[in-house]
Amino acid sequence: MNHRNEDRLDRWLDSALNEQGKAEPRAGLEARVLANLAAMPTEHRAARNWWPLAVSTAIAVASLALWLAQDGRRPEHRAPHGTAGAAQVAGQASAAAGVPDGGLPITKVAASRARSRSRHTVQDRRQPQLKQFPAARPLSEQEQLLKAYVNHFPNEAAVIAREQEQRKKEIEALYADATRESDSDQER
Amino acid sequence: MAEAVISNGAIPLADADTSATNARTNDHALEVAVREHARLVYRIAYSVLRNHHDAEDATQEAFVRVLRYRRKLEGVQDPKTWLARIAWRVAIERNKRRPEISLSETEVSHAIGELPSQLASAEEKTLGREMALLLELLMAALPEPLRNALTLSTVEELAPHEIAEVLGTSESSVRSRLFRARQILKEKLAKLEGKYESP
Repeated sequence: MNHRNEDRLDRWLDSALNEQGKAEPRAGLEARVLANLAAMPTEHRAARNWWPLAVSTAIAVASLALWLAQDGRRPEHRAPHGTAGAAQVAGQASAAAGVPDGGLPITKVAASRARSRSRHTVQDRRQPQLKQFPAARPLSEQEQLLKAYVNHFPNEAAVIAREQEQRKKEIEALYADATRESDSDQER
Repeated sequence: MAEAVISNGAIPLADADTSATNARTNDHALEVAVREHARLVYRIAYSVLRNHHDAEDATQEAFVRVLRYRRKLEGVQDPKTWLARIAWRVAIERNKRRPEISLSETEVSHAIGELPSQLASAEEKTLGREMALLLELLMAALPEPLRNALTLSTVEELAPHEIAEVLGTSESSVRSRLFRARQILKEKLAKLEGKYESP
């Protein structure tokens, strides 16, 4: 490379490198960066606070599973040997909800609960006696579906469980109110 | 990554009582850093990535890293160099994930064909796409220390001593790397010129 050619290439290189460094961002870069940064702390906080949500979800799922397990076990306690007939169980239920000592009439809610309990018991009566406690039995189709749903949508499952729990409490409160009202009617 | 570029002279963690005040101060320092140096960060990213969209993404990422360590920003001796180092690292990391550039024989030939006219009026002419790609390709073929020094030298806001800070070397080393890099580029350009013009 002769001296003249080197100068020529030097000039070109200077100019080309200079031009490479002249990159101009789109207008408003600073504003975009600041807007992005302003949005970040919330995300950071959310990312940092994921664990309380995870813990509460885990607790909710565990309580749902426990509730399901108890629900599945309950009939065995009620009719362990499968000998109680529907009428007998309904009778027991109505006796429990009905006239133990004060001769109170059975309320509508109590009657419907008794009916629903007797339905459960009739279905459960058909199952064989289980010697192991807690009963080791395969999950029913509905339970499997529920399990799959909980696995796929733990957050939604937790919300549903909470809703169900709340509704249960509301029904119990209604039932208690109805009983109180019928008691006061009786007294009058 | 970003931890490595944080200065040791950083301010200590805030007490609970003064955390709100410190948070405001840090936010203000961050805003000042964005307003003063966003363009520099962008240009450093662009010098590596050669693409406006990628350079902007890298700029955003660099400042998100700064946000993570904003408590330390107040204690940084030279925020400009500190930010330049973060921008450099972000851009280098992003560049590793990109596909390599290539230029066909025809494109090289066309670029070399443009060279005489560009040399005639280097100041006025803008760099053609193929010329820019050729230069990028020639720079990519340089040894890494030379390439890094040359790439950062294209960012006009960075003086040689700041390039040395970013690269973690001495200013004299940067100057010698720049000289060698330019020598290699000129030799390669001269060879290419001879190859495509002689027939």
